Amino acid sequence: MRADTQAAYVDYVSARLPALHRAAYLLCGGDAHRADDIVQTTITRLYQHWKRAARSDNIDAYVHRMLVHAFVDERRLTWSRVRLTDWVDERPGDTAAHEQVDDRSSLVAALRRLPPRQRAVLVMRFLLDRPVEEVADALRCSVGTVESQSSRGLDALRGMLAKIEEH
Amino acid sequence: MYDNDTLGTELRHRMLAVDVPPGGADVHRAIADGRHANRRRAGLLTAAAAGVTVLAMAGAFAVLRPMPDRVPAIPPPASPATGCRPTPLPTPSPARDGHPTRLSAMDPAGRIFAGNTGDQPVRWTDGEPETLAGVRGEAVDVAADGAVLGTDGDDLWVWRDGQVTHLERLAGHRDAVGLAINAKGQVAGYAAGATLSDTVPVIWSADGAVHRLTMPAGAGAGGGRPAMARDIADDGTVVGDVFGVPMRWSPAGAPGPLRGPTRT
Repeated sequence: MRADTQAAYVDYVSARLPALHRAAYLLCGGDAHRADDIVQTTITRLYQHWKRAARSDNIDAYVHRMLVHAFVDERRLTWSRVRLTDWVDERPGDTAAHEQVDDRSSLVAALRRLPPRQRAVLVMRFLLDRPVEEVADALRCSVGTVESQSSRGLDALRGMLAKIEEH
Repeated sequence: MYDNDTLGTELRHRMLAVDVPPGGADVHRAIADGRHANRRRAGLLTAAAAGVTVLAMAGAFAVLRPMPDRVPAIPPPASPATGCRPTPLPTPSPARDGHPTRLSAMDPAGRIFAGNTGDQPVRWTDGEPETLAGVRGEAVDVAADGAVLGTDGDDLWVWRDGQVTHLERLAGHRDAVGLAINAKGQVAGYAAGATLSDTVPVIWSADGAVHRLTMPAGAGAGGGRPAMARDIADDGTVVGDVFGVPMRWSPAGAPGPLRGPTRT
């Protein structure tokens, strides 16, 4: 990759990392390690396919799709959980405070209780703001499924979302 | 009552407000790994192009072998596989429109598969699909006797001949993950404690009771790294890893480290 092309890649990834990480963290129902893994997988694949991605009309859409694929693949392939050597980049102190609070009423806990693909639909549609057709394409299912999963997911969260308005 | 648009907007705001711990993804590692993978791919393509004749005569494995800079080479099969034809698997009826069907596991003999149509777990025996009544979620593994291990949100279940066993939680641990099931109905996996990386290796017996696996002497603290059981053989031998060290537990439960691969 030429230096200027690589610089464009680094610029793009640096700007989007926090948003990608937020999406991955919610996709993984608050599992920070798994979130790191799928973000790392996504940006590695993005590097490999940067030329094509940079040419696309909408890089974000391309990358969000890769992120969801990385999430789905991670879930599907038990073998991909066999990472004997990769799990060494601890960042002491940063996870404990977040993870020790097992707040069963938090949004993250509520998302964790949803089936993974339903979670993926909610994150793609509402956090990443992708149109239904793109979500269906990324999850390789029909538009109808995205709509029904999305409304089932919202129903499951309805109690806690509506509660906010009462306060 | 709120309509879905209002709820969707509210959900978006809540998602944006979630306090996310700092991420560990690294752009420079992505570049290094991406380059490595691209180089490897380019190497394979060149090898494949140069080796068309060899491919035709001796099979692909001889050509595809020279890549073991990260993993030890897998010995090539005695002869190239011939006559392999993909066979479409029937999906369960009634068809669930718009629900993609996915396969996620196969038993050691290659006869029984497990997967999903949407969030409905499905098992195929000799190609015949059967929806698993009484369970939802995702199939994770299938044993030689056809028992299916699956997960539905927080629930871990084993489906055997229509009977569903829910796997017990380890006291003081908030999360549990099952990764493999053997023909005795034993399940290998892990339970997570206060933090998600603070995990202990466990197995579940066929009645669903959870048992901690013995940690090796001198293992010390994990320092943020997990310990987990990853697979279980039909004789009860378990493999997994403890704080990054590959580990084997005998059927009696005695742990011993496995030697790592040597670089060639």
